[in-house]
Amino acid sequence: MTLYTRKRQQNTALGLESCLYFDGVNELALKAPGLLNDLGTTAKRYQAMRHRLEGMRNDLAHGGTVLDRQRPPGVALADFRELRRLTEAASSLDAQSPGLDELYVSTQLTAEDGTPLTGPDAVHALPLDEPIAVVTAWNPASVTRPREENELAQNRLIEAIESVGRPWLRVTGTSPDGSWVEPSIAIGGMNRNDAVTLGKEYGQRAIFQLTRDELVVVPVVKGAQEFRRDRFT
Amino acid sequence: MAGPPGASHRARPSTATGNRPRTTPWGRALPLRSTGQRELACFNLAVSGPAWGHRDALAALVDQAVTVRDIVTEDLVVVASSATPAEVRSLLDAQDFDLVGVDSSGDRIADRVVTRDDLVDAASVWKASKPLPVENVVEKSMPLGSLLTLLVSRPHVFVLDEYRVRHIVTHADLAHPAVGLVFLAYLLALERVLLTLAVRRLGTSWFDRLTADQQAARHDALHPEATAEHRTRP
Repeated sequence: MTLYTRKRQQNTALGLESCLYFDGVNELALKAPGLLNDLGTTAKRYQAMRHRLEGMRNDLAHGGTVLDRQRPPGVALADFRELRRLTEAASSLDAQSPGLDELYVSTQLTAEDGTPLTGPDAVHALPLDEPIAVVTAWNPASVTRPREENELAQNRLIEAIESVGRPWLRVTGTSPDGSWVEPSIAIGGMNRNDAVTLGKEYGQRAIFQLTRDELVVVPVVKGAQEFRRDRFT
Repeated sequence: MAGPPGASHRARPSTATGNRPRTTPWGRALPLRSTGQRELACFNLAVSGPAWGHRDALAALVDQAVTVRDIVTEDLVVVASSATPAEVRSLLDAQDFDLVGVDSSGDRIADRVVTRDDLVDAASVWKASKPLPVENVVEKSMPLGSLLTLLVSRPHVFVLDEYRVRHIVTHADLAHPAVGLVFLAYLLALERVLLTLAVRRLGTSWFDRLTADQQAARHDALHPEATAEHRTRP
């Protein structure tokens, strides 16, 4: 049984990131644009310390002590001081980051042929009859999972839409900085309740409604706040 | 002495002092039990309190739950100020200590400290000893994580127990499991929040940013179907 499937059986909110070890996390931290700078350190300094931290984590996770591997106490203590500072800085940075709601509502939608459906250059004439719902089967609960699984789920979603005779087209949801890209399906003539039911079925936190003037984020949880923005911003 | 570099003291109950009546031959108050308490409290607050902003939940939990109390197990060895330098040197050698507490009031409570170096050519223990430095004294309730940051610049700290210095913590105590717990909690906290921040910045392409080795090592996790197929091939 694979690590991913084994973990997933124990935790439904498991993301692909959860399969990473500390060395992988550190690799990503070193490559994430501006992250280390925002944490008050440099790639050179972090690179110098990361292997000691990885070794220490491994030792401690296996019942060792911080002084294993002939680690001098002064070095271990200095690393802890920096570790503590980094943890606090990273937590503060995380707290300042936009929430999922903000990320959802800032999504830009583009049709498969490249036509922008939201944003300053968005087309005025929508490609499907209203009401238009935008649903995806990718990354349920906003937790990443393998591409193969996402594509299989997306195909099932398309089959479900076709089985009820709705017109649909492929669209792409993209974060403002372009870092997050998620294939989605725009469905013509689908009312809000049906779209929410579909989103819920595919484990999504929210679906989009696209109107002539607005992009609306509709949470699938009953009573949760919805967010909306001008379609042309 | 067995232990890591930097270890300066392994404390054990002292037999060098008797249960004498509490007197101060020099007619002055003991600094730590009288005027020093407020300063010590302020010092601890400055280390463990307002300096922190947003806290990771795991790190905060550990700081709340694991304190200096969890690693002090032995008492500070205390000698009477009336002991001779030769007696104290002999004790330091026998125990392989670098320093001991000195009781100038006769109540077996350390209010001064003397080191091996202080005793070289000393005429008396009292004259060789120095008052316990307030900046090196902490309360038992201090979060262990705060103590560890203090120990970066100190070989040891003295620990107050009911307003009296009773213990010493040195670099040798870093091998204590409670210290490992605090380190591990912070490591896990950093790992979790770094992952969130990094993935958020790298976006959907984050996996491609791993090294080839890291990607290969996770192939099993990332492609369960392919792996299963591969495994079942004859």
